[in-house]
Amino acid sequence: MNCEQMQELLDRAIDQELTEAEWKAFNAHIAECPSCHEEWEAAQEVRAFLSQAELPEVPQAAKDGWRLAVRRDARRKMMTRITAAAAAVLVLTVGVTAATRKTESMPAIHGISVEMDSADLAPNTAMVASARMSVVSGEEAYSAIEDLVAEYDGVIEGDTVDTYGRTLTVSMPKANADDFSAALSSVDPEASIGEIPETDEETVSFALTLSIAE
Amino acid sequence: MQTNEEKLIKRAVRGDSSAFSVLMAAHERQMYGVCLRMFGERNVADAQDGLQEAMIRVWRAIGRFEGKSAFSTWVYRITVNACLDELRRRKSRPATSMDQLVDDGWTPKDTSAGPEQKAIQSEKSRALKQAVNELPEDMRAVIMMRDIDGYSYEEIADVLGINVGTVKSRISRARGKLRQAIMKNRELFDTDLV
Ligand SMILES: [Zn+2]
Repeated sequence: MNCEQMQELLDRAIDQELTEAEWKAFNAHIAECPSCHEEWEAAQEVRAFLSQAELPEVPQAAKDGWRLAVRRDARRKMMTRITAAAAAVLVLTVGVTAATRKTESMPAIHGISVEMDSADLAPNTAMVASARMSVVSGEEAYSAIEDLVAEYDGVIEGDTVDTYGRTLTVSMPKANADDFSAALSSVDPEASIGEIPETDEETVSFALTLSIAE
Repeated sequence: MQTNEEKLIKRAVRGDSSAFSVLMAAHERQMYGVCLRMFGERNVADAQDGLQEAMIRVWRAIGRFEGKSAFSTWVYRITVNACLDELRRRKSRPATSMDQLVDDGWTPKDTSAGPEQKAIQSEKSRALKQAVNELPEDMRAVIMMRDIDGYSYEEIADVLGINVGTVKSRISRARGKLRQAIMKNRELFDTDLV
């Protein structure tokens, strides 16, 4: 065997895949050729170095980071944003399940259900999720949503009250809409999910209805 | 009968992110190791991003896991590819300093050698680490998969979507570069060896 042939066998030797005859020839060559001997030693050291590499500990920040990202993704899917061809319109109906119904102020409630109003959606984007938020009263729900809208640089452009409840028209930078949706639904980790369509618009607007249910 | 893993996968497919967390806790160390090795010359923050990206990919794709391979293999494949994509995406960005005090995923287990032996070992490790970090990422990926994680040439080809011949030649070249790193410093290492 010469040095070139040794080189050809080297990788298979590292992988422990030589036949007995090949090992014999291989060993005979490295016994008499110093440079190949040196190379074989180096190969074994490399192999040892690599096989001993220990799995590093995962830093707490990394552990927390992906879990948070997954939870957010789960919520984001749940709250699906909808785009129409021309303008991106997201309609959320927040239904307030009321224990009792009052007219003056929003009633005391034990939950808000969030569901898509599919009437205004493009045909191919229908679907979505429902969630429940635990809030104590309709007023609290309203002020919590108002705060949340402001926090995500949104503007409440309309505020109407009808027999179904109170409807807010909100516009918001598109970049913030996902996080807003996530924040809105953050109290319900168990909701079902769907895919989020993308939009090219910079601002999304949507209606948020706090409706009164019996 | 379903294994615990199968149950957790089913729940995760239905959108249960808590089940997903439990499921993936068993894999995160391996995944983080892959990320750290792939981002070796960069930093821990990048490895953390890589892990997060890989986890999100697994989360979004879990409904498509068909059980043809072991779940761990499927996860490994996604992790390696997430890191490679991220590295390609960041190509234009400058790498951070190579000398880091943090564990970069290439640290050998502590052996109970004497202090002199240890010094040589750590010098060798340093040289090898640097050589590994200087490898192009496609070489770093294959040598990690082969010589650390023990995948076959065929499996590596499958994970990376390249042919076996390419895998073999990349591994061969990567090993050659690492041998060079040892031999280049041979005098340095050998002076104190008996
Ligand atoms: Zn020779």
